[in-house]
Amino acid sequence: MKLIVSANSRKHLNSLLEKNIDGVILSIDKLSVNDSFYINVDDLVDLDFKDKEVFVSLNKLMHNGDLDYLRTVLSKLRDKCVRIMFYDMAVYNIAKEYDMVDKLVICQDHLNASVLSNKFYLNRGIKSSYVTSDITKDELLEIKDKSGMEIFFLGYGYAPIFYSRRYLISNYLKYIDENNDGKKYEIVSDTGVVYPIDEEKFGTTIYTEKPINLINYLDELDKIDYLVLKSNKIDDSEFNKMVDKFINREHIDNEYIGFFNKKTIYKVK
Amino acid sequence: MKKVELLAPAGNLERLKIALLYGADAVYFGGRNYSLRANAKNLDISEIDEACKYAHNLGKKVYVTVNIVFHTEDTLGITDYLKDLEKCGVDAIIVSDPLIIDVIHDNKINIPIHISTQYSSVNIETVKFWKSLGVERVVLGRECSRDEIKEIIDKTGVEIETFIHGAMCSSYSGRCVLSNYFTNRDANRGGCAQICRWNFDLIKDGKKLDNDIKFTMCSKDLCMLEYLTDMIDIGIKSLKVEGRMRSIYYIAVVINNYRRAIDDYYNGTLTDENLRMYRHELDKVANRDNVAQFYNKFPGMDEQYFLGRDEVSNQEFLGIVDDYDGEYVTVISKNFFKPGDKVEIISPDRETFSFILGEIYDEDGNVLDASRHPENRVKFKLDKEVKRFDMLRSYEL
Repeated sequence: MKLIVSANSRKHLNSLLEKNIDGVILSIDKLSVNDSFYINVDDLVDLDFKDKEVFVSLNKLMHNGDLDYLRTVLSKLRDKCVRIMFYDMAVYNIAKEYDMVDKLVICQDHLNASVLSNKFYLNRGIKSSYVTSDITKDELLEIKDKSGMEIFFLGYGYAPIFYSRRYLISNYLKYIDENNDGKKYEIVSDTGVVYPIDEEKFGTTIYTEKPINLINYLDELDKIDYLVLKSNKIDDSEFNKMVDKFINREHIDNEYIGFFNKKTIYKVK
Repeated sequence: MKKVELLAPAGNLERLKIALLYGADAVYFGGRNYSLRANAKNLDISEIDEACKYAHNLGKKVYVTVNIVFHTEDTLGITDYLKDLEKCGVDAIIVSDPLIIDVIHDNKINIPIHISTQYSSVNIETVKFWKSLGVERVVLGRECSRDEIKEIIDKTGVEIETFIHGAMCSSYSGRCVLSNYFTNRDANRGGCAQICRWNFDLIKDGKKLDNDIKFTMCSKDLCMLEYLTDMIDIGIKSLKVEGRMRSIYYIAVVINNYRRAIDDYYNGTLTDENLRMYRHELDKVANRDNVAQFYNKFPGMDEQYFLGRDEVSNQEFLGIVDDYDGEYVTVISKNFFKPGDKVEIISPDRETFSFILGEIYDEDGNVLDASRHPENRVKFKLDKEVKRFDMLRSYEL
């Protein structure tokens, strides 16, 4: 199992590249969402990745107005030694035209949760899948065993659980006549659970109450090809410490594991 | 000229019949499995068969939603189910998980495929991708603007369906699992608990904002009546009404008023006055304020709802006509009414008329002081002809 990480800034990225990780994920400005650090595609050449694998994220839902720039970015990535995590099939369609489908990792936050769904994409030449965190360990391992896909899974980090195109924080603050000058926002449910919420250029995202952390399950996850450690919303030093713990396969107490050991209810009645 | 399709929700056979009778060209519903809206009654295979026969006899169409995001265990039995749907003669299935496309092709099942709005297809290339797989129609994401829809239609040649009326997801469809994390109910497998309509406190830089109005993600509902003609003109093929869980009265009123507006448009008789009248009718059954959302502008504060739920109880719906013998009408009661009430009858194909209720009777001819219980059969005298499935409601200006 390989460990790949995202970073909160260029400086943070450099500190992570010093570690014994296998790769990094970089979100490309204007074509990705749900991250804390975005770079311009042209800046990739300036970075020394120290022989680590490089993944770029193009995980935005593309609208027509994004397509020209998407073409530009994909053409620039065509000859680079990077792989592309994507959500929208527009990325696939253009990548196919550019003969670069082999670079693609499908990454659809909450879709693509079965063996057959993954096989659908494999049948179209997409060989890698960043599988949703909405499934259990058994479901994940079955997908790995039976889909024929190279599998990525979130090992540590906040998972987005709601993504809207709307500016929900701005709209609310305007409605109650409050300044939108906060650096950090959260919402609290009536049961007192606090969820991080972010408004970005392309909309609003709500995240899990805590970072999902599967560090205590690394032995069971050994078959998974790539474990993703996401830094978004986590302090640099705290994140780096956890990365070290993953590298050293340490155990921790009180980890939050989302649905890893718990099924969601399909039928309510 | 081929008219645009008016597509109605049908959570069960009764709603299906009402929707078709009140003017829908096609209906959509879920089967007992594999469909979002797991809380709707939905239809079993024998009912789907009956639905197809009923609709096809009227020259209308039936689409079945198979639109969950499948987990591996859910895929057991899907091939047989799709073969059953083929035997029933459904006109298309609406899918969000593309695994269905492979199952359909691999098993040579002959059912056209429509891509659900749940996949959030919002651009030309994605629609072209579906087209390359033989998909017949794409239901676009509700975040598309008018110009985006038109560009997709012009540049892909794929049949495009869009929503015209009903509740909205606040998120991109498919990108919300709040229900999973708040209630353990799987949003993408039909368990959506509408967390986006809950109230929350907002914390700004560690400090809870002290305001009586709570934070919510809730969006106002969609109503595209005023943009209907433009939607037809830009080439949308199917106009969809949301609401498989809605009452028969809601379906009747919404579908019938869109039907009338569409027909007026094609007949050259759609006037501002007619539009105002249809809008007035739609507002009577509206649960929340409704707006055009993303179609004409980027939605902001005014397209959201911060005042909590304001559900209309539909108590104005008094009963549905079951029979008329030329003198007495029999209705199946839905809400309280009594002699002396001013009421009106709405009908799919005749103008609404009002009258004062005279004496009312039970089935045995006993005089009643009021109709107090839902689902009772109640009679009263009426000198105007009415038909089965006409609806009795309170008179309102």
